[in-house]
Amino acid sequence: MHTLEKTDMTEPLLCIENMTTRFFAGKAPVTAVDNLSLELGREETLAIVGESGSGKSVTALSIMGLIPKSQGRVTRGSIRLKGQELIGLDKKAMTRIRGNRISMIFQEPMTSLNPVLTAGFQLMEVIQKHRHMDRQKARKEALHMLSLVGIPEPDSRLDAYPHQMSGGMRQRVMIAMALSCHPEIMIADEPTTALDVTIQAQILHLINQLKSRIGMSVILITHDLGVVAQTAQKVLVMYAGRVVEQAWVQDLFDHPVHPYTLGLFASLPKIKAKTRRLTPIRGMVPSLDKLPQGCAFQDRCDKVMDVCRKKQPPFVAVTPDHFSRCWCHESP
Amino acid sequence: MNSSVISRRIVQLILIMIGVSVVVFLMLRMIPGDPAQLLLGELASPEELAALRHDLGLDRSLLVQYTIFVKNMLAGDFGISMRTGTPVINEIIPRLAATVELSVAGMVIATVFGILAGILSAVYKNTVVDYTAMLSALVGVSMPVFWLGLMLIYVFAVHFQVMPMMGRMEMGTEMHAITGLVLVDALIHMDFAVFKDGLRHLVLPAVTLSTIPMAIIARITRSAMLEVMNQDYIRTARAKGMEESVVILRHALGNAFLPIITVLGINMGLLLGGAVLTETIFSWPGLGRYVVDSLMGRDYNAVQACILIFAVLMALINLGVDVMYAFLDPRIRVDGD
Repeated sequence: MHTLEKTDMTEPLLCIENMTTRFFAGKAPVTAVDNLSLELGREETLAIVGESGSGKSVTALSIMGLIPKSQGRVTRGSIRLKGQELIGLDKKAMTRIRGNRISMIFQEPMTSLNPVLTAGFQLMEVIQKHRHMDRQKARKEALHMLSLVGIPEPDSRLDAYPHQMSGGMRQRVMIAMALSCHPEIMIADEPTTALDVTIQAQILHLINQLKSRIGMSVILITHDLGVVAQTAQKVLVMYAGRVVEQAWVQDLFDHPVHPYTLGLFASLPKIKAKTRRLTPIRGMVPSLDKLPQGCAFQDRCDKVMDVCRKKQPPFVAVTPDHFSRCWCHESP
Repeated sequence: MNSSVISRRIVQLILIMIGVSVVVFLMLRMIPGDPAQLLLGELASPEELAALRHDLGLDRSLLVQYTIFVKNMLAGDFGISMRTGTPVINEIIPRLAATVELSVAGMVIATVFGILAGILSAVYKNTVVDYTAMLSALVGVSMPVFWLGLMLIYVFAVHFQVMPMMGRMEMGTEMHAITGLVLVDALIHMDFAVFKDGLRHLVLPAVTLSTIPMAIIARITRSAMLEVMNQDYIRTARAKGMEESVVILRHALGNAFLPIITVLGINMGLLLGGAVLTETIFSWPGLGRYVVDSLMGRDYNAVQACILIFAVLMALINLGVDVMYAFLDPRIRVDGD
């Protein structure tokens, strides 16, 4: 288990400050990520947890600069990779970072690979682009990557098309692609959600193993707290576009403090539970364009107070490295 | 490339050709009137008629007649044209070449500019570029071919006099035909003056012919590209750091080509068979005009030959589309059977 001492005091690998991403496609602009800040250290795994629509994926796409211009953009804040500002970086410079220094794998391995190109071509393409190798060298490297991610008979898989592979196999190809340029950061957006449970464990194990081998950091986006416990050192819990709790993983699992996080833990199935029913968080995630005044979680919260309906709760340090956004921490 | 897909298509093609030949054969036999009487006139004696029927094989069973018919067709013998008295095949081949040259030229223009316009309007969706391209496409499909042809002639041939008005070459140009395609023959003979002349004659009719398929191709390319650009693998390509041009041309267009190819095939068939108006306006000595003239003159041998040739061309185009499909889409290639 990693401990707090692991981070060094210099500029972190990735530093996001007050990032706000808004979408303009609908009638009214929608704030999908509101004022998010995070720090990611070297060889660290940061998990972002939350329900659908909480802004996890938008956060990832914002870092990658992949929010479609026609739909939205990062309107505020700063994203720095080793001190280099990524927001406002020109297109060409950004293509040199994507897939090279920051890479990404997605939730849907079945549709994330191009059906008319071979796995090998798609793999070699990224190697040729960022590592400036010729075809033959790139092919060798692609072969090496495929065996690294545990694909049997990589030789023949190189010329196979995505439809000839299983979901787990395709996700391994995606991982091979994401790692082929030895990135500093890999963003994994629910990498195991679409896979069988047995394959899930394999893929997570693979990511963990390669992470230390390549020496990269991982941002793992998930809604599965079990996955978080297995892989992450730091956790951000997001709700309706805002970070509601942030802590080291051990700390969060031992002492969750935000009512939403408590709800998430309460809704997990327990082996020793007396009742067979799960305890859900009542109500629904509010739609982003109809957020209530004050705390976004107020209608689902058991500890709701008057102040929650009036003012946004501040993000406060409960202990030095454990932050939470709730009025309940303000002692009267 | 999976050969089983193609060989199956070729078998289908042969079956279709047999079907077409039976229909054409029976059609001619169903036309009322006695060919012998028609040839010899009303004053012929019964003996003379019987002798001619025997010579023509008309006194034998339908099956035998059909066999002879097929044998002659395969040997390229489509009979004698009733209007000109020369073998039909000799009249058809140069006209077929003219039509093929015109249609292919029209199709090349339509494909290049149609796909380009489609890509641009998909990439710049809901901008001035998109609106301009799609408005042009609408104008393109709506504009009557004869009107456009006449306007082009008026502007470029009559008013500015920069383009020839009609025909395939300047009057009096002599060139030994090898393929019958002026541009190809000129290149074979290394005769660049004739090549330039042939090209100048080809431009206006080819442009006229290309407008409708160009508009259709532009629209289908746009919608295919828009659909493909939303796919997950496009996001993957961007996440890999691919330049936007690579994303569009390699990753998106590669997938969008599938519906486009189908439309290309259909339109190529339409162009070959439907160039009559353009051929008439530009006095282009093509097959379309020949069919119409033959029909008007009740020249049955010529008509049946043309029907067979169009059927073969259509079948070949379909075969070509299937082969392209298998070539472009690995899922069809491998899961073909």
